[in-house]
Amino acid sequence: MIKKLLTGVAIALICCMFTATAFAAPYQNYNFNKGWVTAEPQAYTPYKIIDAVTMGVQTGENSQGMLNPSDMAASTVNGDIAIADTGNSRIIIIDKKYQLKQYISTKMESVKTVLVVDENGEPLLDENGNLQYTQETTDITGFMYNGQRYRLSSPEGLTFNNAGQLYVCDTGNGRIVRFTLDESGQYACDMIFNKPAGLDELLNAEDENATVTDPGATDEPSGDTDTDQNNTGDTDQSADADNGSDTEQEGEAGEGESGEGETEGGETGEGNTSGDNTTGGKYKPIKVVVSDGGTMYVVSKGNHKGLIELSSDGSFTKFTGATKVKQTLSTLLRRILTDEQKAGSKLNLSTEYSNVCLDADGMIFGTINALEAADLFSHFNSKSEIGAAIKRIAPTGSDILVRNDVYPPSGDLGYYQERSEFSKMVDIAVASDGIYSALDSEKGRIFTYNNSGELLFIFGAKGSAEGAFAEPAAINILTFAAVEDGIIAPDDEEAETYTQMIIAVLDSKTARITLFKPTEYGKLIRRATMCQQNREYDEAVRLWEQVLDQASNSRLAYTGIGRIQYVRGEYESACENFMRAYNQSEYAEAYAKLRNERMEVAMPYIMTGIVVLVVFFVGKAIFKKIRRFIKTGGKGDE
Amino acid sequence: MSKVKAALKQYFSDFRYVFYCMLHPFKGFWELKHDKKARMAVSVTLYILFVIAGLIFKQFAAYSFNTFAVRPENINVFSDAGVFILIVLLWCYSNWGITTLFNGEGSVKDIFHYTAYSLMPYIIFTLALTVLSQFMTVDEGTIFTFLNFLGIFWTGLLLYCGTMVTHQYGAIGTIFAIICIALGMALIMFIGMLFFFLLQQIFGVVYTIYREVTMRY
Repeated sequence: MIKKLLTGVAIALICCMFTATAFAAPYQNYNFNKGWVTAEPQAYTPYKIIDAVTMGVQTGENSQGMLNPSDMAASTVNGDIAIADTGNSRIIIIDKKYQLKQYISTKMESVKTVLVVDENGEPLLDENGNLQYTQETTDITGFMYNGQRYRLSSPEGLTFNNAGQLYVCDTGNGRIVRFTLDESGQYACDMIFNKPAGLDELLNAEDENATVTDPGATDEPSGDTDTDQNNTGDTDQSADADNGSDTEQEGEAGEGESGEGETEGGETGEGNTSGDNTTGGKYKPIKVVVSDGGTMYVVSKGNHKGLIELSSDGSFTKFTGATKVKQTLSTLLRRILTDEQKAGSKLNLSTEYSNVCLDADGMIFGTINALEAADLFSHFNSKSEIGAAIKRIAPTGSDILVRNDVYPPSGDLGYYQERSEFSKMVDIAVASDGIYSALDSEKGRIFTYNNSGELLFIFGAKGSAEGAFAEPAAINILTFAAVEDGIIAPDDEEAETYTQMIIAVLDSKTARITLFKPTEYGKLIRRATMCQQNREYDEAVRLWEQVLDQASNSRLAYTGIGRIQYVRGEYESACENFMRAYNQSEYAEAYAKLRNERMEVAMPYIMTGIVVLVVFFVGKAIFKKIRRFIKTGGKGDE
Repeated sequence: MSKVKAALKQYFSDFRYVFYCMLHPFKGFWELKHDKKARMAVSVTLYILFVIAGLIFKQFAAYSFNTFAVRPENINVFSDAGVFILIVLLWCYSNWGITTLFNGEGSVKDIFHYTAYSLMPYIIFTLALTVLSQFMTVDEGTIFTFLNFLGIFWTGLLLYCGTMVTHQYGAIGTIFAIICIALGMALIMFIGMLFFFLLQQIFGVVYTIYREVTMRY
């Protein structure tokens, strides 16, 4: 009996040891193999889950956890992570050790039930001798800006720029707010970008082919401002002139210093009927990225004209990156319809972006999730522009994503058995080396592609197991996590690569962040890809061969080796590897080189052979003629 | 021994008539029917060659032009051969059915023979392309496509001439007949499928009744 118990304990201990390091991934990795789905080793495993409790946000029964967080961003300057706690209309900032650092704005104050005590700390009893409790409210207020109090309303997106400044999409109020680290290490608001003037008219204008227009009036109210903090007061004043609700809210917040206005400050915009139409109007910023120069690219809910580009002072520049609208019969028909008929018919609009992300080159990666299955299907078959779920947008607004693989990077193929649905990309994270991971909310999968659009690996799943998601909303690369979580020593030679490899996924339903670290296999692929990009071919071949040891069907590895052999002129083995990778087009290229090489060797012999044959037959004919001539004595053929 | 040798000699001299038909379709097919130059042995050989050529191409044509080359698991000799045979059989019987209605003069045997003799260009081009593709690059793909097309076109042309001569149709009438034959092929396939589904259903009913009875008693 004791023996049994002991073994049981031992087994339990062993299990604990394994689960402590990393729990088993609740999913199967797979890859596409020219139409087939093949199993592959795990590339990533979940290793840590952060929720409101571990962060220190939810300290007791009555304190608020997170409610429908919809976005997260990580600072590359100090590793701070900001989470948009949309349901509570606040921003939670945690440090690189995942501990609560600061709240920004909240819809309600935090209510705590505390014991009533006297000055000595002894509990005060009421007349019946019972303990007394009282509701203590801690004021986790909005943020101060220019001496006035502001609040956020359902912020749905946020981002850090390279300088560590936090930009928040204050969705409900239709503005973007910037926070900068102050001396005390807290984020303080230093700029509010209100809705640019004239944007409403542009958003309202029915225009099927999003055009780049520049409203003349845009610069007027904010023309004399810049990002300088001292100057921002003017900006706000002038911007307020055309934003009724904001003025009102500000006023209310102003008097709210003393009392009741404060508690419902965040809801003012919603509750206010007069200001409601002008507050956000059609401008509902949900995601934003900020380039090095301070230019903002904003995704606005329900906007079909592409990304809204705002200059660093918050004025409207242009719409950019809109998908071209398919010219179908109905769009042609619309041109001859009357206005009433037009109002009744369905609009043929460009798809809107679901998320944006800035890469190291300053290009914008955008995801689109409202795609029709037919469009996605044609995208997979012919790489048509319409169905692209991931785009890389150049400053000119054109899509420059490289799609070199057989299948363009748009997630699941969708039409093969088992993987029967197309992906819905909700977020994307780009590493500094150009490798990007897109998050699919349909199946909870994360698709990682290299910068030529080749699928490296897939991981993640939906479900209730540890490490699976209920409703994934945001994905981020945590550059500080690898060292902070002790996955790798700071002085390790791989540390550089590793910093770009820890992936965090925010689940909006369960309000948790799951951290993923690469497995040996994932690391190998990553390093091999990097070596190949940096033209360290010997190392790359060595790494790809290690990949093949683990996954003997890896198309990626065979293609990688094949390409290196092609560059080195080893065409025969390149052909063989491309063949193994089912890469027909590159095989054909290598084969053309191989054939020409062989032709060069064989040509002299072939030509000599032909010449010899010709000489032989001509000679034979001449010889016959001469003989006949001699026989007949020169009298001809009679 | 000499008997076998003579038979072989006869067979090969008969076979040479296939090439004559290829180059002189009108005269060739006329004599095929009226001078009884058609030989069953030759026709069967041609059908076998037709199937084999198709299979060889699928298996051995260079990877630059043929994705099946590296996917041997996708090649099923029996089902692939079955498809070729099915097409030929469908053509022959649909042809016979339609031309009987349209006052065609050819018998099933005639149709069987002229179809076989028409297949020669396709066989030659397919086999030649299998070899040639090994020496071709994708840049020369146009040549490949052209030769491939030529083989099919030539065979089609021979089928057209064969139909015209064997059934004694006019030029337009033949085109019409061929369209009808194609429709007939589709119809036969449809009815065949219907038949099999129905059979399945009937089998299902009988099987359920059997189960019911065995369960009860």
